[in-house]
Amino acid sequence: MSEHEHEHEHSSLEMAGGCAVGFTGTINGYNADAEARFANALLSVGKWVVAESGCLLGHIKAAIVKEDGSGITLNLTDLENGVEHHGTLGPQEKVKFSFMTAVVDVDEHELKHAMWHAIEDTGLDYVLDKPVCHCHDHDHHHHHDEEECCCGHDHEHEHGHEHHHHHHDEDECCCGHDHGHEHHHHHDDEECEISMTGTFTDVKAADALSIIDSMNEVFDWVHETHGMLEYIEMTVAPEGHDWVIISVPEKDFACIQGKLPGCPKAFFRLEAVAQDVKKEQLIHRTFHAIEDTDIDCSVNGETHCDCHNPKCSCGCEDGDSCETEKDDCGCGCGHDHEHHDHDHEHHDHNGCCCGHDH
Amino acid sequence: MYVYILGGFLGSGKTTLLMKFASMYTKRGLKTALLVNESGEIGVDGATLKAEGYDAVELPNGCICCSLSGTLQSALRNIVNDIDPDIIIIEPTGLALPHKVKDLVRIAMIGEEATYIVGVADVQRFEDLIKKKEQFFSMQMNSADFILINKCDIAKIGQVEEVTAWLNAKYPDKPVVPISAMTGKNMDKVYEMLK
Repeated sequence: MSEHEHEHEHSSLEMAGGCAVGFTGTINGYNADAEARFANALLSVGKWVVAESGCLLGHIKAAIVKEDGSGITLNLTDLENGVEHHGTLGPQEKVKFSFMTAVVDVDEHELKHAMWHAIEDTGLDYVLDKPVCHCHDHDHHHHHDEEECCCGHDHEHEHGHEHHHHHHDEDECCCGHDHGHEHHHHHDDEECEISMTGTFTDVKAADALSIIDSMNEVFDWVHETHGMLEYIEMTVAPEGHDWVIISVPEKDFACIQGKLPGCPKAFFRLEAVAQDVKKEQLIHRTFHAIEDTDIDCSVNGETHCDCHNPKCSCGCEDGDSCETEKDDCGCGCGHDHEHHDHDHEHHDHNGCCCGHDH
Repeated sequence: MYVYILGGFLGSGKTTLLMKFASMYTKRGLKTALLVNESGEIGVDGATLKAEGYDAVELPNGCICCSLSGTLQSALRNIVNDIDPDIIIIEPTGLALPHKVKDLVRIAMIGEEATYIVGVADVQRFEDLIKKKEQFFSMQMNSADFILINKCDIAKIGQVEEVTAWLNAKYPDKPVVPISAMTGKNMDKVYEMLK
């Protein structure tokens, strides 16, 4: 065999068209119900594999064990026969688990996503050893409607969500639709990106849901203004704890890496990318959305917004007066000054929500 | 020392068979070492074996017939040096090619008397497997010394006969034995075939 031929020799995995993915973690409060839920997760993945590739050729396995290594294993090779349970494990405060799938003819990334969804949907109190969700990876979007996507993924979908395309420029868009009509398309020159920092105080674990709600609110607003929110993501750094990343790549579809703990203080950074909306309006809406959560927070050092005028160019709907009425540029910062493409100088940033770091 | 390689597609029942073999050899008073391979980063079979009381060396994150070939050889030498077993049973990933594993065992020069490949076919999913991956499955079974048709306890009427006929036609020189590793059906016959 020549050197060139050696370079192209496929592994047996490649020859078979197979992939194997898995993750490990910990489950708190394990009992018989948790075992049943985990088995359902395996079934869920099995159904997904069948939907994607036509049949389940491979296996889906999980091991749930105590510290000493003893425990149970769950095994699914055939949907008809269901999940096999081997061993017994009584109620435990904490157990470790490994969850893996080795099958053929599915996309590895999509498989990992399906597995993450499956375990997330169990409702188990679990923590992954390493985050696995890549929902906010903008090189790869998950499609959640039944229309055939022209980006190369050909698979059935269970969810009925909006269909998004992500293209770097118009040339890459191959859906055949005129831009600005039924489907949303992304073009660099209509995109705006915002970033917002602040602090949460007296944080509770349940506040993660409030954060997600606030992000969904932003989605709603962007949708109402006929724009498109590409993604919105918040990184929370609780004092003395690991960072948590909360992202909402689609309305009502959240992804949390890590677990938000209860803590006295947590810093946050929120980033969002949208198209067909005004940047200052997006900033303002996002600011309101965060501020309106139950969490005690301050954004850019302030906890109150002074803007309540429905006629205000910044886009807010309530109230009678707003300092921004005096603002010629319409950036929403409330300061009197001239603007040239929104470049401006501030001596301080109190009350300024223009989104410029200064 | 004899080495057995359990070759077969994903989910064919290799791990269950591995435990049966290990149990049988242990009852015969033979020192048995187990080596399991998982192509993914996370392996479950090692935990399964440990939970059942077997000690196994687990090699995850690659296939021992290709990306982990060096690791396999090191693991074999370590097993021989540390345990000096009478029997080594290797369960490669279901996406491995057993003949390549056999070559690697020979290259490792661990002083084995002989290496045998036990082919394992899943009667239940045989039809789908042949439809989608016949070439790959054939590559796996080509080098088997004998082929076991597993999961006969849950086969539908006529399935075992169909699969047996297919395998006999394809591999007329290889013994084909229907078994159930789970229930133990026909396992005595298999034990007689093992050294």
